[in-house]
Amino acid sequence: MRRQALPAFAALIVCALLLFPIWWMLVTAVAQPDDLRGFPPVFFPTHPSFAAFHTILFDRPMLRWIMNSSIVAGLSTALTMVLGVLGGYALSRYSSRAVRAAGMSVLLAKMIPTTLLVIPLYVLFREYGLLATLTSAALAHCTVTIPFAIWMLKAYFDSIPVELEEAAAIDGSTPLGALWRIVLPVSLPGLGATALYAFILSWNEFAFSRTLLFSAPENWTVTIGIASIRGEYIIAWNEIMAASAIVAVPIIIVFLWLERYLVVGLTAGAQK
Amino acid sequence: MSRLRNIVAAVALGLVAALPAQAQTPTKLRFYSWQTDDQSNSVWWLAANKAYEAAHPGATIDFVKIPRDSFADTMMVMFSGNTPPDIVHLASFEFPSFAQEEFLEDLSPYIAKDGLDLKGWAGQEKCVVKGKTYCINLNYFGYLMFYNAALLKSAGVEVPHNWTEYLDAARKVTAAGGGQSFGVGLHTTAGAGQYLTELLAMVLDAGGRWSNAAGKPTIDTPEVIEGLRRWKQLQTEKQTPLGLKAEDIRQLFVEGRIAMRLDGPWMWGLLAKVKPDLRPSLLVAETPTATPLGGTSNVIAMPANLSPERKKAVWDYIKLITSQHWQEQYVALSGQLAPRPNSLTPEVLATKPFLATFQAAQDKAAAKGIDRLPTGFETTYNEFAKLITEEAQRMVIDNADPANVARRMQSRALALQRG
Amino acid sequence: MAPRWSLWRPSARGWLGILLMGPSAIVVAFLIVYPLARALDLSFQKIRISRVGAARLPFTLDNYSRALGDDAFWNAALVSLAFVVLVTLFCFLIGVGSALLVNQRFPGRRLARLLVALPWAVPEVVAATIWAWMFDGSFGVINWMLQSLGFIDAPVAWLSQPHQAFAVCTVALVWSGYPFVAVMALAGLQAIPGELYEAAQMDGAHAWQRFWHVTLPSLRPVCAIALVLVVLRVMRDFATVFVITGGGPVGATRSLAIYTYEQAFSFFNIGYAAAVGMVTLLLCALFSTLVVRRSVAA
Repeated sequence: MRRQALPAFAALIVCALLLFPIWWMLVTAVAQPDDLRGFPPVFFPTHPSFAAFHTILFDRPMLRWIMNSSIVAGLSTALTMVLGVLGGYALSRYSSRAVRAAGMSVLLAKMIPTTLLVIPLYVLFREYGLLATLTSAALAHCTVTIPFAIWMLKAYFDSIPVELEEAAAIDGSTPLGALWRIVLPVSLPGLGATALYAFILSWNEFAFSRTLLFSAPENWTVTIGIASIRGEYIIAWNEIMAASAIVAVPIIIVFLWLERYLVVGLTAGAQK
Repeated sequence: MSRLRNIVAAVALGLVAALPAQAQTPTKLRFYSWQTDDQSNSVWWLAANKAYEAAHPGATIDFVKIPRDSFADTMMVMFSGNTPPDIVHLASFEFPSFAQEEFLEDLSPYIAKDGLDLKGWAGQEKCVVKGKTYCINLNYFGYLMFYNAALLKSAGVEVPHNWTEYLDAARKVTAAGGGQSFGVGLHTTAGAGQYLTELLAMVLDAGGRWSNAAGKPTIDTPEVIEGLRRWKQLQTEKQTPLGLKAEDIRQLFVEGRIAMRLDGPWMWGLLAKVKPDLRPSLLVAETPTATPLGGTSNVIAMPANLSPERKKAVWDYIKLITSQHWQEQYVALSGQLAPRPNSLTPEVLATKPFLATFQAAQDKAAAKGIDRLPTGFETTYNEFAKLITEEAQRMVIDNADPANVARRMQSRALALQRG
Repeated sequence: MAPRWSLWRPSARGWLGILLMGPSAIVVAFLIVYPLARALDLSFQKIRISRVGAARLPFTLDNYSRALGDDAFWNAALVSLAFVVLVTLFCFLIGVGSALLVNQRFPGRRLARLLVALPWAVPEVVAATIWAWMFDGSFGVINWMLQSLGFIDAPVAWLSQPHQAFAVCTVALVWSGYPFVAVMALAGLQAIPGELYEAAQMDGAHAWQRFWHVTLPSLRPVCAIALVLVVLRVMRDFATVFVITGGGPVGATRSLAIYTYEQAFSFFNIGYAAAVGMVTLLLCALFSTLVVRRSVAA
């Protein structure tokens, strides 16, 4: 037991250090205005104030930003899942040179600087009249979400025994029918995890959104909103941190559940 | 598998539903501004918007904020992307580059048709480019000094009337403040426009100008160098908190942590937020500088690329806010002076005696022909501001000699003019 | 009994794969490949953003020659390089270190494993904002800590001085980046067969030797992938630096990504920005190929 005490203690210290910024965000968000700029700082608030949350939710367009982010993330997740399921299934079950080449080339997207890709996207969306619409941001986010979804789903499909589909084929099922009726139902946790992660990626995205949506404040997402508050009033820190907490805390909670699936998906992709 | 099918169907429906939701209703006017919540201009804007909506049933004004320091860039991206706002609000110093790109509608025909009398309209000449009127000036101002009488008193100094007294007062307040309060407050972080404005206030006091009447930069003259030196001195001596924006400095002033702040009349609105016990201490006076900064502040305009119905709607809006009634309302609601002649009524002056100080500062700036926009850099002001800002920042960081910095600014400004 | 549908036949399987991959390929072609070609085209024109809708301008190499002759470009490249080296180094130190720690056997290690990677979930914009607040020059908690511990006498204005601002951005990038390394390394550690350690122990290797000869080599393949992804992430980062410093002061944190954005959407030289972006892409591609090839060879 004593041999385990040392690593447990060390892990406690390390976690506390690494997670201190998250704690500090929460503490600042509920800080009394006078404590905000006082020394020494208050590390454990005894009289939390929720005034900053009230200000941020009702005096700023925070609710509008949250709704926009949800729409953008929802749209890009939907498109990503449809394409990701088909692509991932192709890689898992019908891999040929062409399919593999397509799958690999999707990964190249990871190399393209966002700030480069956004320039032609700005020009293209301008031509199609999509500029500054939520659709433009959702499509741009797909350049991030589709590549990862294809490979993450491939890993899940790989873990499902192919015998199930073969049995279905014998029963007269088509390949797509087998995917729909046999494979998808048993991979629901994997689908859910992939969809959630795609949603998070889109929700957290900044560079595309900032460029494509900034000129239409009614379409700002939460990340643009927070960056903008930070740019405007450097010292309204309790409000900025309250907004940050509203954006980040739900994601953090979802992530705690999601993490085990991510590890499987990521490492499966990495080791092959 | 009906559950999965339902999910897919719902998502598909969502996709379809979300697309047309973006279409605009024809009577919604998009209006982006940095003045949506400044407690001064914003009070008037909101009232005027309401009046417009009441007079035009079915019309709504979408009045949305874009922060000041990214405003010019954002508007340029918006116009370039062919998604301009309906009602165009710009700072005076950024307006010419938009006129240059032919993004704005010539308002002359509208003005002629409705007989809008712009004679004596403060600063309106800045809106005229090559005989065409591209905008209507909304604010002409002179810089003022807002000060905290209690802080000055506890440091044992009087209200300063020149640079020497100003510096002395700043030093005494800062020394007495122990890091909690400061003599002055300067904008010392990103946001080129504000940077240049505050720098210019120092340069003007030393008798300098960015350029002469012929448009040739005069940054390497002794007067400008002296202005740079003073501005730098306030920072290296830490008479101001560092790394903050003008908005933060204003907030600290309102909290009673800054003794003297040179700023425009719009600052007055913020005093509504002051704690009652502090309120009597926060006062306004003419700037201690010999030549106050001043000039045109912001303008209203119309995009050239707009349907005739929308143009009419936008012109109706411009007509409303420039009317005698709404110009008087501007003075009453924002606590600032309006550009339209005779818009300051005796009744309003009686309730807002500080407006006399505002008027004096404005007249002084106008008499000396001061404006923030330097001659010769009208259409490249954005770039000009960015280069001066970068060099000025470098001067403080590297503790460089203002004379050398001025020389580098001068050569970069000349290069900018050559294109 | 043979399947009724011919699509299950081997000859049809290839086509089916292409059919399934098709939609993704089309969307990716439309959202990545075609735009990239357009970006290349833009990089060969001296075009400003206000002219984007108008007719194509004549072909020119000016943008590339301007970039190579511009101090600001080289400064940005240097800043990017410095970020890549420092951030990657610390991401691996903290990431692998914390993975080794939570791979130990102790009560609560399941929870510790989850918590160690938690910063991953925090949006970069939020992470950057938190760090900017902690490093605030006037009221920040870091200044207070350093002052109480006696490391500094007066508050440091972190964000208005070049090296200090660079350091703050580095810290924020590491905090957002190390969890990925930790997760990858932990997966790698768990995949190491226990027999390897037992064999090493029998040979009389002590803890440090076991780490050096068994653990590290086994982590190599995972780490190579993590290395590529971390480096690409830092090269492409926009959010963190943009939110904390916007590239300032005086360009001390202006990376290639920030420089590209600034040129396109703040100075409106969209053609020049495309050229700078293309050079960045080239650097990213070269690096990835090199590392992947080396790790495959090893």
